[in-house]
Amino acid sequence: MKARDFIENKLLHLIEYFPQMKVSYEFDNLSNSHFIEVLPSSEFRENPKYSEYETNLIIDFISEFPNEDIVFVTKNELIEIENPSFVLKGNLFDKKPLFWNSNIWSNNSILDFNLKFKKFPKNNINSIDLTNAGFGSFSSDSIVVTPIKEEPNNIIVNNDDFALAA
Amino acid sequence: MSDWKLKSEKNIKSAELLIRNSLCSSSVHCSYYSNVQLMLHILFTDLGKTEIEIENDAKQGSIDEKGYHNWLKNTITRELVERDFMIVRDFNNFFGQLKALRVKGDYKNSIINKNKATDAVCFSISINEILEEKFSV
Repeated sequence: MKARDFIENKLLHLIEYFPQMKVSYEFDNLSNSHFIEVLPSSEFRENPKYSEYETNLIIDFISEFPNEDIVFVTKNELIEIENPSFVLKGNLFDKKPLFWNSNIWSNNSILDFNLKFKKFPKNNINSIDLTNAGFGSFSSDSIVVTPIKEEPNNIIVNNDDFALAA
Repeated sequence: MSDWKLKSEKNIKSAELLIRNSLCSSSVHCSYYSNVQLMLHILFTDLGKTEIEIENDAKQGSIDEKGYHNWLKNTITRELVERDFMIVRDFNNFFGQLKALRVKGDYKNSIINKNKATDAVCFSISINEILEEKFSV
């Protein structure tokens, strides 16, 4: 089996195990290195299960192909993947979990804050449909949002205070 | 202290000097070789090999693993697996990226900019830190 086939098989397995991830593969002829970019970066850096999986993959690869390199990277590192030969996406990669970035649902800062920290006002809790929302697969599609009125800004700034402060 | 360790330290300083003098592409070479030399030092000190044993192992390893640097990196990686399984990926990925950038700096018809060269020094220092933490240097 060639190194690339070995890697492709392992990566297909990887995105089944970690469906929230996406991998892009590129081979660098000059350094004889196989580069795999893994996204999201937070999973790459902070998911211990993923780290263990990747470490095992590296060790297996080195024993099988000791004269080639396998290198895993994520965004903003020393090496960037520019022309991937293939990209594999887990089936949850495009689904944004609720806690990732709440401002995609509303332009209302208070509502966004409540969604992010799950502090729902009593009068709005019934408007959120949670029937199909499982942990880890919570997407914006499963939420029906009733806009609430933005509260007026109660802070009055007296410009003379700036001069005094300076 | 072996001469390898001394050369490893001087290569980091050389990389920094080269960057300061805007010789960024050349600096990556120094960053990379600082790691290579520290690995050789580890074979000599922590793994207790003599210089003749290192030469012979390297000769055979270069044939088996098609290259001196592959043999050296794989020897250290196999040892790291035993000592700290979870650090293996950082070592592998940092060194792999630095190696690729060094190849680009030395052989490709392109320039390494200051940011990349500075990042390369940081990667090299991180790799040396991993090695110093996990091996007796």
